[in-house]
Amino acid sequence: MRIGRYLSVFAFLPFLISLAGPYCCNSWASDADDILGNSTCVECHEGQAETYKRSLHGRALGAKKEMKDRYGCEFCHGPGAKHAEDESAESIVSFERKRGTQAEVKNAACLKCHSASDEVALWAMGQHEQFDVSCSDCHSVHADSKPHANPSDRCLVCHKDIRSEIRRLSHHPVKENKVSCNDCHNSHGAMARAMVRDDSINELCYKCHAEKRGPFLWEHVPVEENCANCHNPHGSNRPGLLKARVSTLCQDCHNGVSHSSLPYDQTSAFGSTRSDPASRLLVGRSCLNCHTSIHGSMHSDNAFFLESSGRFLNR
Amino acid sequence: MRRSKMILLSAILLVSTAVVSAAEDASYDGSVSLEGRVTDQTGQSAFLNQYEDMDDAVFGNFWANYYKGKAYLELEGRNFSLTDQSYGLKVGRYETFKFSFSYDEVPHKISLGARTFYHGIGSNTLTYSAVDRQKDTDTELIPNVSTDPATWSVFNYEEQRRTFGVGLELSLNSPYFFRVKFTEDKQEGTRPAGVVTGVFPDVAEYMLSAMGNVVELPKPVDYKTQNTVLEAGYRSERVVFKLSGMLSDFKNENKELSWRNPYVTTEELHEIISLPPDNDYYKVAGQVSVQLPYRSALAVRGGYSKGTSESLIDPTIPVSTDGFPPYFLPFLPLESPIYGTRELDLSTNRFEGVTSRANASVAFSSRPTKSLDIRAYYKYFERDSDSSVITFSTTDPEDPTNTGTVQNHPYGFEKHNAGIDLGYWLPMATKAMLGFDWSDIGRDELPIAESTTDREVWFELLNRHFEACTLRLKYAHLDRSSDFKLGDIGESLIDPISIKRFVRYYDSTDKNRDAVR
Repeated sequence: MRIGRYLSVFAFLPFLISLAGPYCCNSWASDADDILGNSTCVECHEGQAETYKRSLHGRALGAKKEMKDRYGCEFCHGPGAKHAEDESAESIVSFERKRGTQAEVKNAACLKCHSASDEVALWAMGQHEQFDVSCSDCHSVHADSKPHANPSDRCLVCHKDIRSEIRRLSHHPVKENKVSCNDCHNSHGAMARAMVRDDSINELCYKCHAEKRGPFLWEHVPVEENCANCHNPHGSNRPGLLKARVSTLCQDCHNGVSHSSLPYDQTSAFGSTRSDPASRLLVGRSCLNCHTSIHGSMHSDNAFFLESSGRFLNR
Repeated sequence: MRRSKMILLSAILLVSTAVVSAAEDASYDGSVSLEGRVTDQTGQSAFLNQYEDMDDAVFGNFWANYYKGKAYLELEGRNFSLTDQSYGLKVGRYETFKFSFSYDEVPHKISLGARTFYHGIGSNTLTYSAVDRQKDTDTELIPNVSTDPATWSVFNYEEQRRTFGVGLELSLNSPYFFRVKFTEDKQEGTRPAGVVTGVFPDVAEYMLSAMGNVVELPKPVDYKTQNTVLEAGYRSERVVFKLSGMLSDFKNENKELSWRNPYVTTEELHEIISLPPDNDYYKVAGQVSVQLPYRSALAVRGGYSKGTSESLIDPTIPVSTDGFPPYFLPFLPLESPIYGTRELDLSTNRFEGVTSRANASVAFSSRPTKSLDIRAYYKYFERDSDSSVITFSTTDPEDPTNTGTVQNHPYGFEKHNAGIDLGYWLPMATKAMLGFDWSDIGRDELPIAESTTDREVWFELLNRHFEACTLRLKYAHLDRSSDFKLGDIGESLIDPISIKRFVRYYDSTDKNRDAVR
């Protein structure tokens, strides 16, 4: 692989462009008479000023003359003149949830800069905006040196049903910090349902599970339509993230004729003998005992010997 | 190893840039920790260790941050020396560039200490040693495998995934951006698979049953996936435009698994199950979002992807000299058959798989007043298959003059989805929402139903007044209809096949559902 060599070339580019002038998202309007400047804010909020210095915003924007002098705190919190007079939380834009500032107002402060981002570009289309979630519900600008929210901590505070699902027997390794909510979902908004990061569920899953991509000689229609027809990606008490037990799940569709419609119960499973091996239909992997290539098969097929059938996903 | 050195050198160069370019005071912090652990695991230890390494070990963690002005370096390592170790490096300068490197190992344990009479676990050939039995002498109806567990193979159903990634983003203090990211993912291990084996055809006068017995096979997993993603675009407060492309290559070291059938006891008979084929995939997509007046936004997105695979199809199947497979005997045999293979007649033995997906979507969002918000959307998605159509022909063993054929049917579908949502803020942080969603799926040549249409109306109340919780109450009514094709199947209700008039797949049945949650 020549990846390393190409990356080395890229590494030299920053040397050449590091003297480029700063690009900032916008030029912000201001009501100059109501702007007091950072020094006034720090008189009362010295602690917040200290934490801000160490924060990512403080480091990234601290070099800006405007931010240092006149548009520091008030760029996000709004003009401070009225707040300086009455010292109430309602006279300033407060990002604490208990202060009751509307989410739209809080978000507008963040979006002044961060709307110029492809990650946040679809914020208006997403469910979080629709349900009045504010940026500060997940991100803590002052407290953290890295305000990127940790999805495993932040998402699951609200999405408690998902929190219970990822703790089930079969789950993606979210709580083990190997998979993040953000790997599949764009919490800042997306056009797809459930704000997934791709145009379809299958294309999203194939990024990590390319062995399911095919194309296969013999396809299984529900597999090709939507992985979520059979799987719950957050977690399940059945193996393989399946929504239901194998025979029950398969019988959602295969409930017509032949053995697929049989009511597999204790008499057909545990009352069988070696010469009448009906138990394979229920115990172990149930339908998958025989139909092993359930996601698709590359095996040949024929009209008369069904057991060695690629068409029925047996091989 | 050489690739790792090149990447490390690149990282050092980038770090140097960040350090040299900065003018402000630097800050740094970090930590290194070393731990020892002794664990006592009893019971289902595979599930305790499903995605984590919980064995006795000495392991450590470290992190280091270096900040100087707008430049930064963040280094992190977790659980080094364990099988779930991970490392990450981020270097960059805000609004200029970002470089990232990551390495992650993920174990996945399914069952530990499994046993099988097969040998060759982890390979694509499973076999065992046995003395062939004399024909027509087996009355015990058990496979001819060793019954001494001491001779069996002991192994773990587990996989280890190793993912390596590098990425670079350039924005160069401009509204333009460019990203490239490469990841390589390797999976190695063993998974369980089941297969039908047949009914002791070595025993004369044996009463057949439907499909026979099954055996569990340890299936080898040896996958490698390489993904390359390129993105470029323009972003400003009003307009964000992005083009993206992805190339993906999947390789499987094992195209098929050969296994000895333990229910054929008079000779050694190997059969085959197919494993996932190598495949290539690419996708291109474009997206633009525009901020409009009156707090409105419009977004448009389109994409196209294509996946291909190429395989040679094995035309042979194992059969007895009577012409039947090892697992299907319609008559009570007078003596056990001898096994061979039969060549199927294929229209072509080269399968070229081609599937494509295309999508287009548009969404509009607006807040015309302080309390009212509106969303409208439309999405089109299509999946098409131009894969090879192969015809398999063979003769009926009971009537050699009768030829039967089967053919694969590449599948495609298209889906339209549109809807509109309205939301209105009431006092006390309460929001009332009303929505309508319509979707229509058309499927290629499915015999049961070719299209399904869903219409859903929903109403929801949301309250965020309380800091400790959010209250939601939703009612939804779904109306589903499909063009069911089997309503008149069968000559009469006495005809067994007429049962199909009354059973439908869950997604192709008419439905009227009210849900409250």
